[in-house]
Amino acid sequence: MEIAQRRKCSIPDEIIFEIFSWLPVKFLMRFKCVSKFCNSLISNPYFREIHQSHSVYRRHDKITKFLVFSEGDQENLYTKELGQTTKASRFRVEKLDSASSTKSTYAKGLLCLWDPENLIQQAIILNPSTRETRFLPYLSSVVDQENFVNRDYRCYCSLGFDSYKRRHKILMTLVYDDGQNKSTRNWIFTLGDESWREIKSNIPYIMPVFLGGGVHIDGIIYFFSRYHNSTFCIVAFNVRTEIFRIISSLWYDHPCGIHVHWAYCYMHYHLVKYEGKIAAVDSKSAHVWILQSRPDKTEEYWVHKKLVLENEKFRINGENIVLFDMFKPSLILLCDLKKKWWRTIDREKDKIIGVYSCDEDSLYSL
Amino acid sequence: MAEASSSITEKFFLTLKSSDGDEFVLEESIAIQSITIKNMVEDGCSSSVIPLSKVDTETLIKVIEYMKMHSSTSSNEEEIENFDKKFVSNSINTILNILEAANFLDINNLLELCAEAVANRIKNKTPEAVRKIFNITSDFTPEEEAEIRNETPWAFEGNLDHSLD
Repeated sequence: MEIAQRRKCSIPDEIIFEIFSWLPVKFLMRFKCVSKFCNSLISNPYFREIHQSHSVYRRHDKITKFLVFSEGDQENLYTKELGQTTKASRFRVEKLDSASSTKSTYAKGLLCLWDPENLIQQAIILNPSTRETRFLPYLSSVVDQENFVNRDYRCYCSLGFDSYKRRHKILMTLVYDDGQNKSTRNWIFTLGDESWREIKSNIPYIMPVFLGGGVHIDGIIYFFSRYHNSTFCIVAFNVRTEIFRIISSLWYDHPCGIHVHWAYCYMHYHLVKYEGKIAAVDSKSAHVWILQSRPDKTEEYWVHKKLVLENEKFRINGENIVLFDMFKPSLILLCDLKKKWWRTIDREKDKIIGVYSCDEDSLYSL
Repeated sequence: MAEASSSITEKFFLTLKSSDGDEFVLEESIAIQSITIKNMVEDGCSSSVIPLSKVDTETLIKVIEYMKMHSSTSSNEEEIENFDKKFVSNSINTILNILEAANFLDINNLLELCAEAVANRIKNKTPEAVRKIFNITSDFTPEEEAEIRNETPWAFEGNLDHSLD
């Protein structure tokens, strides 16, 4: 049987190219050792482009993955699929210190890890598909400045994707005490470039207040911010044009009539992607707001939903919202907006630093 | 009006000849899904038999079956979907033959269908099984191969399928 099926001639390289362009990255890596041609494909720019264009067919958007940070393990970073106990992938990221308060942000197949309180610890970019990692240069213009690192500061990183230039960009916002007031400065790092580039914000008084990274949806990064030191708002940053915009924030007038203080939002509010739209979740009172826009894009408005606590077994599908508690990073919050349920799960042994839906499996170079 | 009706009734036929010497008569409108055949027709080489020296009879029958289903105006989307699903459940070796024919005949959607199907069928296999299926020999030394494998040990995790189909 086996002999009868053996081919008379070997499969030509161009056919292997076509077949491999449909393979998930893990198997491209497995089949590198098949032949020199197979090994050469992953570094071939034309192949990468074709492979990337097929990624939409390889996507498993029904699978939400956790990004987990373990302590004292041989691998210091691993991902787990929601509902599974086995580790989906494990990494050893050099210099990633289990004691640091690592945060993460995800956009189009790549993750960025950083420490908001330590500018000397360089931000890390990683591709969970290829498991490649790379350190971004640190902000030498700021860090090398005398005494800066002794000041009171926080930095915030958000990853986004410029679909026009097909490049990932990292927006880093630094909030620091300039001696009298809190000030902010913004830098952009484009993957493929050598260094950070400072940008002037078109809205000077925005000051990010978020614990995780910004949320990226279709070329826009959304994050929570304060404006003029008090008002709590959501800022949308256009990755291509590098322009900031404040989104109407009427939603935070709580439907129960309670005035919501920004510190409450800081503790309990989360931004997530839901069915391709940005949504804000109050994880304490289980209110959800989804940002909708009119078909002609003239107006944006928030659609509110109140969820009920449910103990019934939770079915995980692509439309669920998955969150974790920044203050107790083993606690996961699951929201089913269709059934208007929510429930929590304690993962005890896991220290979660981010949740992302793997929407791209590609050979992006870092 | 007369012109329109004549263009509907008047059908052109082409004769395709496989590498085994078998001849197949096919409507031109169906056959020109193959860009290679379309170019031959446009260059005026279609008056006689079109020899397809790289496609054997078994494969050509399958390719014609595919072209007929995908050009027919009566088949709906669901029918085509079911046909495609059944089409790629053939043995890997058969699909590889069709893939090579689709590449030679330049039928892009058939090429994509088969390439994706083969990718799905081989993805859990071992590199050794892939070499056997593709009938290729490694051009690495054992040391080089070991080195490449050691770069990404995680890529060999999970169930490894040694079968050849």
